[in-house]
Amino acid sequence: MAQLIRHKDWSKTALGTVEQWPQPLRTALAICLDSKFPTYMWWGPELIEFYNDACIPILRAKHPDALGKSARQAWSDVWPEIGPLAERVMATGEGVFAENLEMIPERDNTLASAYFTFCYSPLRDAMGNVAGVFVTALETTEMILSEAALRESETRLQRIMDSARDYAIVSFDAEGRITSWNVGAERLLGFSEREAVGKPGSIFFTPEDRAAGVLEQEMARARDKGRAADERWHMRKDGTRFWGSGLMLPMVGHKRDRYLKIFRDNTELRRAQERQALLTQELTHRVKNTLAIVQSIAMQTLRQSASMEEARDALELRLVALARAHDMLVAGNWSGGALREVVAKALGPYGDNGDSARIRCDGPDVRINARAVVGLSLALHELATNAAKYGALSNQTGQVDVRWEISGGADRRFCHRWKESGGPAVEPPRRRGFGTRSIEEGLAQEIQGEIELDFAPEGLSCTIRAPLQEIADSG
Amino acid sequence: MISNLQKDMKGRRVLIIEDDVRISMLMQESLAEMGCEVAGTAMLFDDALELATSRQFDVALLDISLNGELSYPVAEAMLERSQKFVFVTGHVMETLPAPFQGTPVLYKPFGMNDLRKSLRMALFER
Repeated sequence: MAQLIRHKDWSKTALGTVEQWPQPLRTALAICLDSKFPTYMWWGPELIEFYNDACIPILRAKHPDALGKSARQAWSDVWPEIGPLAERVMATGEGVFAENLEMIPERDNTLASAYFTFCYSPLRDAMGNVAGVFVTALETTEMILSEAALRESETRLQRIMDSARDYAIVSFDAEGRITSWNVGAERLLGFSEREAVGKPGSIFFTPEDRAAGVLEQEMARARDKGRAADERWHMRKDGTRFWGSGLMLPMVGHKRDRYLKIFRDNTELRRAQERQALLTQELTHRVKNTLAIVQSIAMQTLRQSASMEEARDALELRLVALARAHDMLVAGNWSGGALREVVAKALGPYGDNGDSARIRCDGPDVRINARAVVGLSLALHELATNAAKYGALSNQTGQVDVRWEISGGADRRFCHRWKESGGPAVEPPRRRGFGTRSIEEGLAQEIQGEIELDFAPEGLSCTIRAPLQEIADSG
Repeated sequence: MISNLQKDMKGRRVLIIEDDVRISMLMQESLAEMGCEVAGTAMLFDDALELATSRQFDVALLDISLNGELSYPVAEAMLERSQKFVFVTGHVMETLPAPFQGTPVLYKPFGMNDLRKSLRMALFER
């Protein structure tokens, strides 16, 4: 710049040739040109412009024409912003400092906001009067824009964190202390951000997990494996628990260990899974139980049948009776069934639904438990089959009378009576078959009751007595 | 011809502790077929404990769950009297507590051979 200034023809300017310049101007110019900091000088009432090498990148297309021009012309595009500052210095002789002043300079034919930090100082002539302005200027556009971008990205990130209302997003330092806490964490755990940040992360773990060092194990697993599943009961500020479901992750871009934990309340799903497991277990138990009954029926039927044909028929009918008992249990959600329905289903294949003249059923409405439904269904099936083969239902005139009642006060008892009449003369069986055993042993124990089977010649009768509480459906 | 297996089991007195009467009946029939005697049957915990400490028997079939109640105390009582027994369970897998490890386990549903094998293990292999 020094050379450029020296070779410029100044004779046409208000300053005159270099030799005519006053000493204060020369001194100030020397300081300006020696500086490595972008520095300008505007001299005289015309504000004739000088600048140093450091200014050239800032001036861009304005260089070198700006040299020797009035600053008012050279900076006409931004004079509305910087002009008042310069004029003030000229008028008052007081320095001005302006930080990150926004302006829109013309650069490469485009207009965009630029920011500058200025220091305007007065230059004085030999008499001490203000003769010009000494300007140091630093463009801060990049810094300002990157700060704005950073602020925007932080705001955006915060908004994302805050919008994840159903997810607790928590970060930890290497010691497991909480370093950030989003709105979701506040909602889920009850601690405010202020309460949580800085506290040990274990504050929302259960006392058992705290004692077992579960948080530390999670952090170690996240560090070693890249992630650690978090599926466990967590504790809210008020001490209530919920099933947390999520992940612990090591945070990227940190020299020291930092961890991020993202999780949500999955209590509903957990409870559903527990219910499901319980149901499956219960179902397995019931299926096994049923298979055992089937096995027992099948083995005894096969053992006691005279022929394959007899075995097949008897087995089929018994399994159908068992299946009907099951249908009732399924319909009643396995809690039990109505005794009237048990009787009607057992007699269904033989009478006309129990209300015909030959089969009479009478008794109060009573719901019996699952065990009694199975036991009575099988027992009544055996009685009905026997009646149809040898008893009152084997001729055209016999009758079956089925009655049940509940007697007694506090210690209530159940009594169920099956009585046949009008059939062929009854002969006691030659051996105790499946039916007899199923009733006398099976049913008796299933309902903790007493069974009286009477093979009287005028008709078979079977009396079943049991404490009501043993057979009643308590569910 | 009487097989060795049958000879081994013949006349053995077996105690049945099983809360499901139909399974208990099946056990009784199967045991009778093997030539065993039924030394007694119990369905409830209290009856089981009573029989286990008072009856004379060679081996017991002991259901692990009696109406939802674990029968381990009954097993302990039998261990104290050096009585032999087989655990019976409806579970798919049974993990036995330490004192009972090595006790034969009969899984429901079972066939005649399973029953015989588990009784033989209890009687002769311990």
